[in-house]
Amino acid sequence: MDTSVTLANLEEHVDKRSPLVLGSETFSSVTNIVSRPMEMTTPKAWWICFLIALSGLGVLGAAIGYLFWEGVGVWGLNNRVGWAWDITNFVFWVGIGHAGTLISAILFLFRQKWRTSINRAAEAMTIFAVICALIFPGIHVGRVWVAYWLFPIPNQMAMWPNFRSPLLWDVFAVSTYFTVSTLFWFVGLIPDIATFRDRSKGIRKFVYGLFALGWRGSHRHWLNYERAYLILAALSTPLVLSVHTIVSFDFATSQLPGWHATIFPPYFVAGAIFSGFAMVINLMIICRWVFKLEHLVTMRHFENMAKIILLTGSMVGYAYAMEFFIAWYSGNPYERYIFISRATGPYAWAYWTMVTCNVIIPQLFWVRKIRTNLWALFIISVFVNIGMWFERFVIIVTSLHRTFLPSSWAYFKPTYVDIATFIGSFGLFFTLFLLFIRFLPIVAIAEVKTVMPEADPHGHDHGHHAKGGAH
Amino acid sequence: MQSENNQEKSGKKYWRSLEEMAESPELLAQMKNEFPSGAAELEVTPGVDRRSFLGIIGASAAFAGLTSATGCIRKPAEKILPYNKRPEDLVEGKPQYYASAGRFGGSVFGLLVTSYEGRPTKVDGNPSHPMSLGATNAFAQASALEVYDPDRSQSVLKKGVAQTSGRPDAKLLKTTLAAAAAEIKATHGSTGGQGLAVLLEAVPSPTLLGLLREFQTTYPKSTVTIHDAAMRWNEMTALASFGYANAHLFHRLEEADVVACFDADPLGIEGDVVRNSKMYATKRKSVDEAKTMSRLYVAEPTFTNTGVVADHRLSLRSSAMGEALLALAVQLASKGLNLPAEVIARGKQVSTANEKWLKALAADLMANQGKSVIMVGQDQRAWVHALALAINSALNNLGKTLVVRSSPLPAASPLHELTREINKGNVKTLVIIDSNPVYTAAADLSFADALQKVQTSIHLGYHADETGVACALHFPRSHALESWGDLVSSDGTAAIVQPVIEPLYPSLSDVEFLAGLMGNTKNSYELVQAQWKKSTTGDFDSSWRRWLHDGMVKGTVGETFSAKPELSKLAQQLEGLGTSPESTSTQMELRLVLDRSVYDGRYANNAWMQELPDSVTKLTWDNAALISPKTAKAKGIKTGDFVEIKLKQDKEAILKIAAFVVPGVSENTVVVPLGYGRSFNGRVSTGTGFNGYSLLFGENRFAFGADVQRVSGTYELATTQEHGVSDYSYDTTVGKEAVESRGVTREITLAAIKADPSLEETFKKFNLLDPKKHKTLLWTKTNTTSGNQWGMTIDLNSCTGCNACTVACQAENNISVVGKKRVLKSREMHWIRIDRYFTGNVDTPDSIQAVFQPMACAHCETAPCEQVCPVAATVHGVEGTNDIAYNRCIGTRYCANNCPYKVRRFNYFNFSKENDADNPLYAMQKNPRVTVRFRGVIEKCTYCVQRINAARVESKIRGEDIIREGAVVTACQQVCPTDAITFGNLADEVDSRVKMLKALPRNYAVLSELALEPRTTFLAKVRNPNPELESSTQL
Amino acid sequence: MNEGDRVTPIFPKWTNHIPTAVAIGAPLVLVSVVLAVWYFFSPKWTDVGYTPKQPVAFSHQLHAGQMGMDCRYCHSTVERAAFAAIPPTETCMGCHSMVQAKSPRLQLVRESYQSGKPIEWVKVHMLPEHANFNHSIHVNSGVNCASCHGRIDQMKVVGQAQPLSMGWCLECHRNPSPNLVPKNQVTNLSYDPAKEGYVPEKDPHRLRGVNPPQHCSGCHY
Repeated sequence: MDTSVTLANLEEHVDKRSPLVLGSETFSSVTNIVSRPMEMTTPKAWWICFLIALSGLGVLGAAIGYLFWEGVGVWGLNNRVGWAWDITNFVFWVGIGHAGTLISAILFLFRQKWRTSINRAAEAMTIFAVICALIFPGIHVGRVWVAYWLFPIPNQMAMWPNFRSPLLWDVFAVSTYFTVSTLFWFVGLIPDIATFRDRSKGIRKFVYGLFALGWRGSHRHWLNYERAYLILAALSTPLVLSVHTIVSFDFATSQLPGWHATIFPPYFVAGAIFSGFAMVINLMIICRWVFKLEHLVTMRHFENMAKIILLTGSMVGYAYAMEFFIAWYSGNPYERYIFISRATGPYAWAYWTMVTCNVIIPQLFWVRKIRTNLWALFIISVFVNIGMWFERFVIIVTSLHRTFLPSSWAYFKPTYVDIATFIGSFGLFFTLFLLFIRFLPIVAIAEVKTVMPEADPHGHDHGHHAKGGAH
Repeated sequence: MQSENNQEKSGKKYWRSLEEMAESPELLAQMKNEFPSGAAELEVTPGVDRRSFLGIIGASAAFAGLTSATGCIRKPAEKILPYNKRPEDLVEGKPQYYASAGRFGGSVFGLLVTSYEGRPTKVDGNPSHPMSLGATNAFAQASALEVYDPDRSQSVLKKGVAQTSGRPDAKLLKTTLAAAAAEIKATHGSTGGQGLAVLLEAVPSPTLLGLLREFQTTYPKSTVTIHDAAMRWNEMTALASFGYANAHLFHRLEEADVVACFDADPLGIEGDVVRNSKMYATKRKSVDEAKTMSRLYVAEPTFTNTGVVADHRLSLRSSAMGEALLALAVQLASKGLNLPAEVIARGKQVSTANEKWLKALAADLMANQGKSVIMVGQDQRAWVHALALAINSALNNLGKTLVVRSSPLPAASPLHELTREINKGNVKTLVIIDSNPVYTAAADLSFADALQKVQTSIHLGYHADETGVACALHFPRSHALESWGDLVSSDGTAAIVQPVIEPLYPSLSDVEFLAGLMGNTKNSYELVQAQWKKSTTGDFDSSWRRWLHDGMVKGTVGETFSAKPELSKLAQQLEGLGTSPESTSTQMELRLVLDRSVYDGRYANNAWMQELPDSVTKLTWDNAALISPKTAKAKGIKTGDFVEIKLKQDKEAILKIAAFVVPGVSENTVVVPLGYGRSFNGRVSTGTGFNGYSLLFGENRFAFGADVQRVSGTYELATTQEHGVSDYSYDTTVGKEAVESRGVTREITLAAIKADPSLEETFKKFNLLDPKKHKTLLWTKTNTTSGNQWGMTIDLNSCTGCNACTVACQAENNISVVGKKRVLKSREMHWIRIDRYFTGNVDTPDSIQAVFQPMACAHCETAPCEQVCPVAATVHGVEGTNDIAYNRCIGTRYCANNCPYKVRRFNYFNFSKENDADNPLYAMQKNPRVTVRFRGVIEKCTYCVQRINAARVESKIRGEDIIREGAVVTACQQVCPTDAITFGNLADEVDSRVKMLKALPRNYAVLSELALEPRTTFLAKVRNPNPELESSTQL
Repeated sequence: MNEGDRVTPIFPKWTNHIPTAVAIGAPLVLVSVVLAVWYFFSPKWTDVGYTPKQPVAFSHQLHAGQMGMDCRYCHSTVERAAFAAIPPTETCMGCHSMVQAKSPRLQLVRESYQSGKPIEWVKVHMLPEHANFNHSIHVNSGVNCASCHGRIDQMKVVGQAQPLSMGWCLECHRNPSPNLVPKNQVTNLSYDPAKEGYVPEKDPHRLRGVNPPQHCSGCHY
């Protein structure tokens, strides 16, 4: 890659903001760049990846089928550790699903123009991650066939769900989050889909046309579109915070040492954004390289995301430290013991993996050289994702395996079904994501154009072709 | 790792795959189908009595879940099969109770058997029987399952080959027995029984022994041999040496203020445990009113239940007991007790390291003459028993805290004499009545080989066990719940054993068998009646009915010796008894003990007992070589390692066995529980543990010079505590600190109570927060004041950790057995478990103490489980119970996670359905009043809500809204031999016992600082240490 | 794109109405589906009227109705036990050894009496097995048989008259009075407390107020 170009927009200039789109890209060239992946004949690489992902999905199906047939006993759970990988995976995926809406909604409201070239992929990632997440609460119950009792449906038993239960709040929170994010994503897609409708023909034209909802790019359309987008952004902003807050309530409102902590909501949200951005970086680095998006997804985007990771990573680190401090400061022996055993007990290895990946490694981002090096970015982000999975594992399992009564201490060992289900969930995620990059624009064309100089009606220097001087 | 199911199909599950399952495919086919429709089919099942089953409609409730697991499917059409002629005084769906008696772990006590439409479902103690007083031990509870043992012998065997093709055959049984009788007559009739021998267990049954006498009169030259794990040969010899012929000791712990046990376990599995525990408890409970308590000294090589509750425990190897007792004698003499000079002279020669301990004990004994007792374990040598008796007599305890009673058993020879005769070729015919010598005989006898030398060996047994298949002829024995009989307790109370169900398979009771061998074809009913007619004056029928109703015969059998023993006789016992090398040697000592779960091996095929965690090791499904942490470290042995125990006496024996490191075992000692590693091919017993009998030489269960070495390989041991803990010591120490700092189990001293009656100061160190403050509640509580408000207290001071409650609960509440593989995954289902915590320093055995804490759902008023259940499957009942509606549960396990006591159990698989599918007979034990749980739901202690509801209906029909005190008794409370568990109505101002107990200062809630307000609270454990020994006790 | 307004439309004009139609139609469909499930999937619809054929054509209408036999003559355990026992064959034969002794319709009963094989009646009122119902307490609290079983005395073949669903049970457990009758009227199926103006609270023969359990463990254990 041409580093001179990439680094070009890292400096801020006093007189003007450095550009978000590099090279001498024009409106049409941008459209062409983004359209290429969808209009080219399907490359072999895509097929290979897709088949791998698909077999992963198959594993998931098999694992779940076996689970339903035999019962939850096929997992490594026991009477002391009632949750382990199932809920760990759930929280992990929900966490991943955070960056998308944050980027598209919150950064949009804060007028962070650099979001435009990454928000589309991020949102897609969000939706797919939440789909993966939603699987686990569904399948972890002992009697799947009556799981619908979680929803308030009138019935002959005259029974309602227990609205005091955080698990029920979860059901509502996550499904709401999913609905709104999907809507938000789709609304954002409309103009681009219309573009493809106009560029393609045959069945494709018809399908795109169907989803373009008759978009013609008229002034009125744009007006409504902008308003709708703004409203949805405003709607989903609180959701970004609420969903993981409520997920954290599953633990915070119960009274186990290691779970019962007031710091959980902010700590979880920070952690979610942390892991979400890490995943975005991983995905974008690949897409950018594969689809030659260097001019749209610039080093500046990565650097900004790296900064966010550095920030949220430090917040998470602070939370870890604070948990220990409170455990000591509270004088609560159970609390103290659980944290001592986290760091020194049978699961110490998991705890220190978590600390290394989440707290220590991301600190490298203080160094600009590292946060502007794609390889470093990629590897560190992978570590962050590993670390964040372990964070959930540590919170859930180490707290459960050493509770109040020492007589009831146990150790959790995953079975191969646990592992298969986890791997399978990645299969599902990548299957969806691969389909996405094949059939939908990975960069929000319409939005990117808005941040190009040409889009600025009062731009005094329309690029290089306009003559200097004012009229 | 492969799927659990596959694992357990291939591996050793306590049942095996269906194909191997039933000898009789028909039987299986008939019974596989679910009740009640099964009732119709059962009737045509060969050998199964129709009338016992027709009414099984009542049982349908028990099978809820099996069908309703898939709730939405439309219910299949069900049939109702009414009785054809309803038996008198039977009301469908209402239980019937029968008084009976049984012999468990060598103790005989009265029983009360619950039966639903002809299915015995539960066995409890008979409250009016002096040896039971309403309680039982775990073994008695397990007999409710034993009767439905899938592997019980179902047909006659000749040389180990079944004589019937699947279908049990009653006629064959009779003819074969007649033939056997004829043969005996032919061979021995002329010679007056020359070469005829009878081998039986120590069953104190008047009818059986009457028939035996009859047998001996017919065959005067025949010999009688008694072989029984509970037989106290050494004690008998000692008593005989003092002129008490054929006698045994009977203890009265209710009279004893100081009890000293030397290798004895009167509260565990030795002797009349149930009565002893009851009586012992009375001397501990007095702490609350009278502020007095008995003091218990125990010297033992490994933790017994008695050792755990002791006030002072001395870790001492069995071989050193006699010497310790001699040293004690010296101490006593020096304090002026009149003992034979020779004894003192002899005692002066021994040097003991435990002078301080013995001195303190001696002082206590002297101060409590006539109110103290010294008890010696059955495995101790005769002279030790004699010495103990001498001291007891000198202390004027004889006739007060212990009495000598004549034994109902006949004069008989021990097994090794019989074996000698056989090897001499003097035994032509051997009749074995319900004994399993091939498995339980000492290794040096090699009885199996000897048995082959006998021409005709005839065996009666409940199982076609090791002996059964080795004998020329084997007859199936009926279960005690299937036949008439009679038994005499060690206190002389006689009771009639009455059947509750027709034999499931054609079989013979022991009396029918023995009578049959004399050509007497009367059935057990006639035989027992005939026996008692002899000894009854006046209207027999009315007194017979009275006996059956009361469950015992008025007036005792046998007499008590009042004559004082001649202590001079003691001298010759000690003659020639040189200083035994043991006391000083540092060689390893091997100690074989009866197992607390499978006893001598007879319960090895009982799923409940196999899965019952051992009181101290918490080990299930196996035995192991118990070694103290210190010795283990020295030998580089860790829990789960294989060790090889070599024992060289006249011949060498080797046993490869898994080691289990546990505190409380004496240094240089290895303890091996007996009863496992049976070659009997039972569904449950197969592949469990290691056969300790292969190390047994002679009658003494301890031996010296054992060589213990770690060998390659490890073995998975399934414990229910310290689950999957790799480093035992780390976790116990951490655990110990945790427990102490957490005040989970609260131990105080009698002195503390006296000094601080309100215990406020004493309890301060246990309370993290002042339980009276800090009660801000998030949710409004359900009304907990009016109507019936249920509550429970558990007295840690009385609990001896005997496990009876765990099995009783399992029997009452249809709790599934999960098998070893799943216990290893800590998925055991017991609703009430007994937590065991050690205190003291792991490396100094004398400082080690342990405490038991029964733990079940505490029914918190602000239950954390209720708040988190998303579908309101577990909610609070108006009567303060923490209800759970199984069919509403979707199985998120959130409640189990949030439960601070970790008492909730999840059905990870369809355990109950598997149990029933793999063994249809087990289904017949199910309690129809309790839902059988299905896959994917949580279960836990319900305070026996089925009993509460039954009582509520009764009282409401009576027109009362408040349920009377005592109308509801939980299964665990009912069975408890020490009445440690009390349950009742807290709102009952007048006569609620539990309310009174909760008012005691000893009362506390575990984890009180969580403001859970549990309905089950505990009464702190009180130790009564001797001030002179305070230092050695950890508190 | 500057020629965007001259794009040839893919969809005919009428498709513009689809969104409106969906907007109106979808909620309607949804509501009706919910209602349908709520009604047709409930025991009220599925279970009520379940009238299986019995092995013996026993007519309650004849015995309980015309001849006015008391329910407890055959279902004798109803006051003492949870289970209202189906009478043993000998009870039938008590009369039918004399009455209709030869009737072919009683063939099965006679056979059963001789062979000792029970008559396989088909269960009509099937409570889910995880719900524990106790007849004795209901009868003793003065709940009329008809409240749950309907007018058995008018049925030739017995059928299920009430849904026996949890909601239905709770209705009465929350407000039992309308279904309570004097103790001596329990088996009088035609007795209507409302018409008779019966007020349980005023009944001197009642020793206690009726307060049925409404907590889970009252029925589920």
